[in-house]
Amino acid sequence: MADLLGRPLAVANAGVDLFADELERQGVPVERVEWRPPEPGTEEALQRLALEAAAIAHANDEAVERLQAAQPMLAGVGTARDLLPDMHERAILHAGPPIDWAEMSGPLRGAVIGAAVHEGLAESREAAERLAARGELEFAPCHERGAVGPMAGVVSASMPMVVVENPAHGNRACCTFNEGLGKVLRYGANDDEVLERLGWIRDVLARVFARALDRLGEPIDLRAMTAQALQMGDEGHNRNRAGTSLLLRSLLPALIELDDPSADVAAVARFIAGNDHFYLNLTMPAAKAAADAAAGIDGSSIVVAMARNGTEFGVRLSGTGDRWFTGPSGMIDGLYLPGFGPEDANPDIGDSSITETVGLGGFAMAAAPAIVRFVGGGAEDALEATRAMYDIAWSESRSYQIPALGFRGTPVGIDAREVVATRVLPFVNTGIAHREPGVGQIGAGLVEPPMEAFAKAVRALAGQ
Amino acid sequence: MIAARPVLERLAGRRVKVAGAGRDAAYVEDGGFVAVLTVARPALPNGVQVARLPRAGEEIVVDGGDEWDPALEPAADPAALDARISAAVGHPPESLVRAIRSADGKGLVGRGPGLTPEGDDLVAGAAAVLAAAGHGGRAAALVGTDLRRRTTTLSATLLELSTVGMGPEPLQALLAGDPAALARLLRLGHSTGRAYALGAAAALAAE
Amino acid sequence: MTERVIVRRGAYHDSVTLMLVSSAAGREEGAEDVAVGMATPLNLELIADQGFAVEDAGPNDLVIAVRARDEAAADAAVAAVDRELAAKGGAPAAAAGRPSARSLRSARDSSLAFLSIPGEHVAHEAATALEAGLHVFCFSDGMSLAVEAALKRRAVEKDLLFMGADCGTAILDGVALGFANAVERGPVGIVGASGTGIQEVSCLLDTAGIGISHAIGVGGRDLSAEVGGLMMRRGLELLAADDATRAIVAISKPPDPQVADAIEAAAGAAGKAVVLGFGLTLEETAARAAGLVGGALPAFEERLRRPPSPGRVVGLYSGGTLCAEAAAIVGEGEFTDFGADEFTRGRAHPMIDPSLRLDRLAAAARDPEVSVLLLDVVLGFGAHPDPAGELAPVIADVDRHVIAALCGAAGDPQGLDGQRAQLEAAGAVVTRSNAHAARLAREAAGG
Repeated sequence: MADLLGRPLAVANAGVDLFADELERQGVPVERVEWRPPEPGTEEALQRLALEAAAIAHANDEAVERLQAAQPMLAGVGTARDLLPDMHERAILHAGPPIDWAEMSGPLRGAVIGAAVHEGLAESREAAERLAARGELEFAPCHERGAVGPMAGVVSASMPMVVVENPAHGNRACCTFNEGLGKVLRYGANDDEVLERLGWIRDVLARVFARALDRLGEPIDLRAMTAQALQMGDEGHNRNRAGTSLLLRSLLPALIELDDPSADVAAVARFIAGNDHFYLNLTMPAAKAAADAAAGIDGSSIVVAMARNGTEFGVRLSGTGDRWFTGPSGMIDGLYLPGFGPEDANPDIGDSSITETVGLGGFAMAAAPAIVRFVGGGAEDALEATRAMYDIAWSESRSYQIPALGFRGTPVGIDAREVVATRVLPFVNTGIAHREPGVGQIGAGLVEPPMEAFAKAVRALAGQ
Repeated sequence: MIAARPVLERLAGRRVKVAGAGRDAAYVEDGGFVAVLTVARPALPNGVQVARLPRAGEEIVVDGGDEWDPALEPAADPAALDARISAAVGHPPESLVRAIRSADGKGLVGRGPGLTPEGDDLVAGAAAVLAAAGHGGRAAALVGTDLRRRTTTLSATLLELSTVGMGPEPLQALLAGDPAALARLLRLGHSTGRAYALGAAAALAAE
Repeated sequence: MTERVIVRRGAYHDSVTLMLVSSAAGREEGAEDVAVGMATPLNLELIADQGFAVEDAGPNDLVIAVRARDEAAADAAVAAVDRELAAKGGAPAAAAGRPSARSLRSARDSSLAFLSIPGEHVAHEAATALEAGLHVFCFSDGMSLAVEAALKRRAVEKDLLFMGADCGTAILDGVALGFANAVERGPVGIVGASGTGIQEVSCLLDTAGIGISHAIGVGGRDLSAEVGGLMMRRGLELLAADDATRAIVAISKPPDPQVADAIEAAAGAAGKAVVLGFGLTLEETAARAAGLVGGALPAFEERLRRPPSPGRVVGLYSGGTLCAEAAAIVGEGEFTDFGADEFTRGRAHPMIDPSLRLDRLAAAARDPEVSVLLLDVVLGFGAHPDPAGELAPVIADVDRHVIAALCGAAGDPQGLDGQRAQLEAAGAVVTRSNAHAARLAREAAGG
């Protein structure tokens, strides 16, 4: 406490301006915090949690340290049925919190139908739909099986998945391969072209990619690669051009040395090179591996999952176990591809907001001036988006830094208490899916999660 | 909104460009005169209060506002005030005492890091007190000529104001007998206020 | 060995930033010599003396000179310089005009949080401030005792000071926080559970020409059994370790007995003379403190200006402790503390907005049973700019004894002498000791 007396005072003022004015009159520097009342309905919970502030701080320190310490390593490729628990033939995983067929939105239904046909569970799309409606498919969230999936996030038994190991905590997370842009399963498309590509991914891409990784001889350090991508204009969610380039650069020598048919190798190289978002499906399991390590710490108010199933937005806290706290999925404020508009959009969908959970995506917006038009502004707005997130983050990333903020670490570890107390919602960058199955991506932008989900989570943490 | 008189005299109604912006202050420059913009009330004799800090490169117009006259009054009891200041911050450096005695601040002006080098603050504190006590000639000699070659434009502005007996608000209040002003002066800037206090003490001792 | 000299044109950086820049660069591995300064001729000479050649730089340019083991180390040092300059908001224009933070955890440049938000929300903000490593001055009231105790235990763990809840006053290194007076700095340190108690004692010491080093408020419930005097004990430790403090005064109403033992133990361990003002009037407390540093309070010799007249005493106070002290001394009468919760809900404190008290004053003056009106007039930072000016016209119309305890210091922005003169011209008896004011009130009503 030697730092209080005998040295210049600097004051943060929350409340009446008069007192701040008086301090400034005395020459004391004052930071005026723009305080406003918390989300209605959370006042009592916040008060109860204030009683536990010390225990929560210890828990949050531990949770965020595990997020920071995670060493996501791209270790290999496997098949969903071998990698994930209970992944039997009729199991279909999806993005977001749990949901029944009846509540599923268009894109998610479309992806489920495509996956059922892909697995040979149904002869036709119509038959697949009947199968699902009869309750003969078993649905579960990716998040509950150690996996994540972008947009619809649908995973079925035969799909190949990348494996990201986190030796710092001894856990791992899996994700499917990114299918590219346009008509793809993750946006609910399921025509023959989509299914044909899924077959090629299973039969060619997964094999060649796995062999190239083997040939490299050691796993790829995804934390280091993402940190570097941030210096090159990616934010780790909606812009993945630098990450994809860095990945391809690492793989290229190994790819060239493979004795697989050169047509296959060339097709794989061309596929990765032509798909800026290829790296997203590595960032996501890397983030999931870190977030899972931070889960399950008693009392912690740190968010360890944010995920949307196209109908609901779900949140999990480290200190509230496996429970999901949900609110309606929001509409996305963004830019649309020519010919599409907000009336065509599906509500927010996908597990990709796991990137924001670990301090990437909207939290690293300031690193990616190239995509700020999605948030409808200039480079200033991108800086502001990231700056605002420091208000709700427990710490600053040791790994992910932002050049435009003087190499300050990105905000990391969302404290649900602070979300409801400041009413500052996490910024989530995301793609926009057409509401009809099978059309695909029609835009990208920024979405606000429902405050309701955080309010429920905070009340639950307070034992209410 | 409050503005120091010299700022209003030179800049009122003029459109000026913001030369730089720091965390707590921004700076405008016009013909070798620098004004300091702060959200807090102005403490420096070239200070002006603004509702929000502008960014570097922005153009602003300094318009009216309450005028604050940063002219210092002579101390009622120089010896007692010197003793009080010295008790709080110690004795002035020998280089400054010599500079005052010989009315030559060449060895101090422009020395030290910062926008207002510490040597300048020592000299400005001394010169302002000397000028206020009617020794304008000694103050001018102490500060010397060709200031804009010897130090930053901001510091040159403050040194010139000191030769006509203008100084920071806490120094003004201190000389006028406000007992709380010394603490306020010591909090001015990082080392600026302390240097002004030492400068003032040296000049009070020399009176 | 390699050298780099970088010149940044027209840079506006204060010396703190430049020191941080210079030390950041010097910390880089392999950096041998680092010199940073504005390129004034004298600074350039110094830099040249260190063996660097600087060309083409003027007094408004920033020079950074680095000597390092090799190219890589020089690069690292230069990068550290840029990082620090950017972090301090000097370089990028974006740093200015930034919307304020919404959360105290973003207040990275501060050392203390001043909280005056509505009481039902303050628990979370206070906890956030502590976790952000900020000392807390909690002016807000309405925090539950359990939360206060928990937060203070946390403050102790984090080596932070938690002043409050419902803390009205502190003076740290001459800076007044909340309601406080511009008293001289001097050798007496105060730690108090009452804001107006601290104001009264510090102002009484000021009348005696004795200044104070620091005054630490701890909130009215710090010495309850639940809180255990945690912050008063911290305050005693802080003042014991403070070089500017020679003697210490602790101000509180009589605490819980166990807590009193703990405080006494802490006072005994201070290694400095300590006055424990429990159960003493504020005047007695101040007098003892003055004695410890070889001074004395002046005698308060103000007299009644009219003969005593039997009747009721009505005390109308803005300070809670002053009110309680007066009630105890006068014995009988009707005492109202306008600073109490029921009067401040939804409106400003009476030290800021005197209207409620003025109405009561006018009403009491019309009551035939009332013969004495006793008031406090509190000056200082945070208080109304001219309380006497508000009171004087009302007092002038009162045909009763009006006795005012004037709590203020010569340096207060309202002007002590002017305030006194206005009250006296209106017919009030004015004294700077609340205890003396109460004694006069008792005498006036005694008949």
